[in-house]
Amino acid sequence: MIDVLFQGLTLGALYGLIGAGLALNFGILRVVNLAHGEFITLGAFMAVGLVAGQAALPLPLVLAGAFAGAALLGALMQAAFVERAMAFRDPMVAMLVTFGLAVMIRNGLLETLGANLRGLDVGGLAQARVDFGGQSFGLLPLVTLGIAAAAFTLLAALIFRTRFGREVRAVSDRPDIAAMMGIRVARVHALVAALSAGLAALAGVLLAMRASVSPFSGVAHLLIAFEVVVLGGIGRIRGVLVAGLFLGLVQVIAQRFDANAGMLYVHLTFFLALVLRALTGRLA
Amino acid sequence: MLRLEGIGAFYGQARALDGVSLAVEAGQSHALVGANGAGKSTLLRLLSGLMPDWRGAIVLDGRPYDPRHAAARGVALVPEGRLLFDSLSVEENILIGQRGRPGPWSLQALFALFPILSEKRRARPADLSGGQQQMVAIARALATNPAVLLCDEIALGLAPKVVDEVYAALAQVRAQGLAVLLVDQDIARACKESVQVTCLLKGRISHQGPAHGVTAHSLRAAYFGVAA
Repeated sequence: MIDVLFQGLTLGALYGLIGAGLALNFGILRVVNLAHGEFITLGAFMAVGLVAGQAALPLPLVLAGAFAGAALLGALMQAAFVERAMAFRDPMVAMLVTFGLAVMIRNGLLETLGANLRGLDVGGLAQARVDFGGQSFGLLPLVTLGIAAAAFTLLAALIFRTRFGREVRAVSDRPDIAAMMGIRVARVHALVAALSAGLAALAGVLLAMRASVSPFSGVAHLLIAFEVVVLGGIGRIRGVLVAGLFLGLVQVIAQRFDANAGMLYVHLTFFLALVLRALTGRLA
Repeated sequence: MLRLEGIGAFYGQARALDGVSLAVEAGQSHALVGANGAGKSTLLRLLSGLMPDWRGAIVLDGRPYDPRHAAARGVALVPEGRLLFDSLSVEENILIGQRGRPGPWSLQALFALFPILSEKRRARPADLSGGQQQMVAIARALATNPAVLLCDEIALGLAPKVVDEVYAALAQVRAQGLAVLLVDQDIARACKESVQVTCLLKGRISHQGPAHGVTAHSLRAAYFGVAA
């Protein structure tokens, strides 16, 4: 039972991390970012490349490298394309721009790396175990859980405890008044996009340590991210974490009874939650 | 301190302001009155950098003024409807204005001006009364340490006692040397608080002069555009 709980929480924390970046996009930029899944894949492939390189890097540097690389690309994409699309009243314009960017990233990965599945070789970490309280826990899931927890803690501190976070929330509430107060709104947008892309890449690295990824993995990841964000509440960081943990637990418990259909139960749970909301008048 | 010459503003093809010239001096209020749609709020929005399409010349402290740099040059707006940041606490709403421009309006000074805000510093705007929200909006603008304060309908929807409190605070602000451009539907109140008054009618100046003694009745012709 404890093992199931541990696995569920680990997977759930990952799902929460996948959703966190998308929640920033929804809640602060007000953009439905269809390229979010591609940043998860991009993070995974950057990590694979860094580990497979001549000078293999330790895991913290791999995580930092993937985060920084994706964050830079996310900020550039925001500044060059999405910010301009956001100037249109119709939110479909920005959404379609991110769709186009997603196609470009996916095909770029396909052209340069091929369609093969790749995993992140973490060496002995994959098999290492730690005994605690009479239970044996895998070190890799523990590391995953720890990194996800640290990322959420830092994100919450950044948004709710810093001057930057205050400006981010002000821009989210009223961008015109924030600009009038002297806040550079486009700069805040670019930094939020960087943070979102970086978190996606971080999730991608952690996913690649558990399972193989291909250039086409982004769509499946995006689906989970959407479910987590919609279930957790758009723009709510704590809600996203809770929703991710819940869906992770559902998947792991369901796999106990039906080994090949855990993900199906995740989608069914999401659907049932939406039905429940609709019946109680809380769908909007 | 702030001088406007021949200001015109446009919403697309529609001209919202035409040839508006006025001046606001340090430590004084200038009342801006007129019927709905006369262009009062448009002028304040223009000065705050919220109206991209405008013509004319603006000079602040002897130098040309670009409204896109309103906060840096020391022009702050208290907008109609307050437009506070809903997800920020009272204290955070005020702190967002403090962006490095030096001046007397620290958090402590603003809490001294509006003591009730000190008690409500952790509250969200939605949990405050209308009067308290208006105090936050004024404090947020003052936190930028402006030279010119633009007040758009700061008494709208407030109880008379609260209006008196807000205007008493505004008198303290003027005493610090701030220039105030004041829009208020209550002509008598706006003129009582001000040295000069400008009445707008369909985007043009229909009356301009000393505010002393001006009443809603004496301004009727300029206000409605009919013969007195």
